[in-house]
Amino acid sequence: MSTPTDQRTVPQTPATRAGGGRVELVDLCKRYGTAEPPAVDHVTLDIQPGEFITLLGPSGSGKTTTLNMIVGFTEPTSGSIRLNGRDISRTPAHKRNFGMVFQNYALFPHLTVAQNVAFPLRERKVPAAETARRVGEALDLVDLGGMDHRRPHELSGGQQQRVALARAVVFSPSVLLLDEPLSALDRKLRQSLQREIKRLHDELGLTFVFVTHDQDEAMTLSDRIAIFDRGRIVAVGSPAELYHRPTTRFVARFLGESNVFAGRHTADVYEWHGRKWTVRGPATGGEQALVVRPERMNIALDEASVPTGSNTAPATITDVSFYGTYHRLELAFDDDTVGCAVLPVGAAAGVDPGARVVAHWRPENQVLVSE
Amino acid sequence: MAASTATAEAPVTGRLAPARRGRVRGRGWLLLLPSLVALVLLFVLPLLSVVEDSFTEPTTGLGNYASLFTDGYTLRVLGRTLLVALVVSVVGAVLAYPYAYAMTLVGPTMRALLVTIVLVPFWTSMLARNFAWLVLMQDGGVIQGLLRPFGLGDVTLLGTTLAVGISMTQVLLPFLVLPMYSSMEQIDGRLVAAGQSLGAPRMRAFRRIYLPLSAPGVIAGMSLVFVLALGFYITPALLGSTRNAMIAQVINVRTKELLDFGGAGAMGVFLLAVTLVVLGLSRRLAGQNAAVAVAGGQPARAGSTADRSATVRPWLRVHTTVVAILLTVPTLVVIPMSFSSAQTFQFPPAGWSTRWYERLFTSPEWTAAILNTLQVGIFTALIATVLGTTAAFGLTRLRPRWRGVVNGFLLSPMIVPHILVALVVFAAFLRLSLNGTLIGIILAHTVMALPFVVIAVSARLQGMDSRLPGVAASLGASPMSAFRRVTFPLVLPGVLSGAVLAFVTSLDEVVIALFLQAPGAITLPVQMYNSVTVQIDPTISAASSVMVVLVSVPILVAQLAGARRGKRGKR
Repeated sequence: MSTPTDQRTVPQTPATRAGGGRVELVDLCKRYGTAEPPAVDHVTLDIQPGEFITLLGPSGSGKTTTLNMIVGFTEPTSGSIRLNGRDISRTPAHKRNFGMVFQNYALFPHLTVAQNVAFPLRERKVPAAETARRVGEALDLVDLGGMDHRRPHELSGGQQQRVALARAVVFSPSVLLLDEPLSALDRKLRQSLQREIKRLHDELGLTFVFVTHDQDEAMTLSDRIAIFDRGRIVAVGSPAELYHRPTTRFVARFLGESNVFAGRHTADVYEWHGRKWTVRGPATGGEQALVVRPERMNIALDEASVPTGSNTAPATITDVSFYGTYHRLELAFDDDTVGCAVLPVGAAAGVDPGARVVAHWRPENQVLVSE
Repeated sequence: MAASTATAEAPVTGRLAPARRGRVRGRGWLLLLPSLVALVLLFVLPLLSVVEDSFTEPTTGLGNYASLFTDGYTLRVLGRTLLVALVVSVVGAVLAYPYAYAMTLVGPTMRALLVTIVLVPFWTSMLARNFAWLVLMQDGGVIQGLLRPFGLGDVTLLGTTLAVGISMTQVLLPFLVLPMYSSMEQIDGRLVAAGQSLGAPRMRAFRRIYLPLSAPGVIAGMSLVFVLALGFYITPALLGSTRNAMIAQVINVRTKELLDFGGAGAMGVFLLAVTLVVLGLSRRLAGQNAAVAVAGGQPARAGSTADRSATVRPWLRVHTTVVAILLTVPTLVVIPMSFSSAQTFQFPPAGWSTRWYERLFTSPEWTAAILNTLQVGIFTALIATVLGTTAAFGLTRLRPRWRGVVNGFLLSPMIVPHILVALVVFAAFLRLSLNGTLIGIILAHTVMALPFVVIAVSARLQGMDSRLPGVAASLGASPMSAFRRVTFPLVLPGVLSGAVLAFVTSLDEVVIALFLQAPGAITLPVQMYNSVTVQIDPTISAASSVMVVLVSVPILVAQLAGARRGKRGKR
């Protein structure tokens, strides 16, 4: 597995050996018993070379099972997994050549930092001198130079996760799988490691498949997000697409905050609690909810000051919190729906808990989603 | 299909495909097979055969059991045995509880010393310690000398039930201190302070909070000592007399001299029944209290949980010192004794010499015994370690329901009274002509040592992150390579400590070796036993001293090193 010695003077860091793998999941299913619902239900996903894709979903939604099938820990019940067009569904994990970073680090406690990082190279019979060099480079890459002889228990959580990252990329895999790698860390460390992971992705050019249940993490890191719900992928798209154009109520609720109105879409209007709202496009049939993101929601003190053409919903303010650059208002609409709005600091005069207000928004800022 | 092998070493997610689950479980049973077969052949079938004998020999029926309670002699023996066991466990608990409590209050160095004082007798030859009591209690011995000023100079101790009780209490004391200490270690010391802040006076806070929380350790220790005392053979045999016999002595005579397996079997089965009842009760009691302890106590972190208001009060200091002396000093008499020049057990010695050490290492019978013991110990350790380690790996692959049952079965030799195991093995090996052979002793010791290996390796396996073999696979390690480079090195400390435990178990085992002895198959403990009972051979004191020193020094060093490391902070 050793790469041929590079004659150029460029140091042979993993970055210069860039080249992400393409991973295709085709109709992937996993059942644990006929009585239980499938853990993974007909998942199809085409992961592009060099892409940073996040599998996002609540716990038990099938994202980790999917990852375990990709890395080879779990055998699919049906469907196939392809790497660069080659079917690897039956290849054992140790021959798949994916790097993986685990929750809670999973370093080998009996080995030093350097031995941990050298582990995959020894398995690949890389000569000692080259192993030493590549281990050094990998540790430098994650800013852990000089920690070679420490034991995992002598490191902080953040340092341990950096070692795990170095160990997972040192053998130049074409795909890096990350299973909730930041969930055991505190907020500050999590943010700094997020940046680290993003930098690694830029430098190495590998395909990253990242599993998390943290939507903020998914939004900041990913090129694309695949949202899982009950074993299925319910939406795939860039963070902006998914945020601004959610397709289902689940996606709208799971990714960011939303005001979700349950009304009726008839002809070219949307009826909600005795009001008729302007909508673009004809009714599609089926249950549809109307979603407005909090930063698109405006607040007026009475109907008269609402610009013409906006849709309106009367509400009572139940709470106001100050976040430095903005105020966040909690709203109770007249049909008892709970919602929220975000206002710049200057725009929140006269809105106090208990006040009756009119929430309004432009029709182009609303999205109709299926149930 | 090949994909499954990658995680076969240990499931990564715990959620495996049904097909693979079946294969992995099948392999679990395969790994367990050798030890299960060994246990059934060497232990269960012989035990059942003795149980059968107890109902059929010499005539079919309940005659053997009826005579337990009808012939006055056996009933008296049973009553005496139960009484001694009860007194030993109660007196022992009273001595041990404050000692264990003091262990939780003192600093690391002092704690290391107190732990060592308990561990050394725990590991030291049972025979050496009983021999020490024999020396102290003999006519004209030290204890009589101490009593003389009170006009009690000619009270005979040796041969009385009192002598047996005193030495049994001392010999079994570590079995009380250790469970109590481990239970108290879990208690958040601040709870007593919290109780005081809620208005309870210190003593009442202690009684209402600390005592119930430490109860599981007390119950575990007391029931263990009660059960061990029931089947105790060496102490009554050396320090008691046939007039004041305990049940183990009677079983010995019935088995070895009368070959009355029916009668002896009935006594053994009765002993087993009492044991099971006591252990069952204690488990229920301690179980309930354990729940309380879990609810009440934060996991102990050294330093942070010490009850700051608690100090080692003067009376506790005195008590702890007395118990520490009781644990060590009697045993230490074997050392001066071993340099005696006299051909008797006279103590203190009238003159000095090293002749007993010379004899220990040069006389044919002693060197043969040493070599036999080493041979038996090494083979026992080897076989038990291989069987126990594979079994522990097998256990992890079973369904939880089966795991409990099989684990209980593997550990069962620990709870069967020692004297009954000896009887069972003797009866079975007699038929197989394994009596009087080293192989017989090795096989029997393997059964006794197996549980220790299973416990040591299982503990290590449970402490291991079960994902690591899978992690190794993701980094390119084949299942063999993952086992060799990850799983095995991580489990190795457990395997080694299992091997040491197995070796020591064999090294110190007397009763079975006594039952199976024959010229040419005499182990060191048996030779020591015979040197007191058959001839008067002071070489035993040299042998005892060597064993005490060999055991104490490594324990003391390890404990003190641990304490120093603990002081420095990082583990």
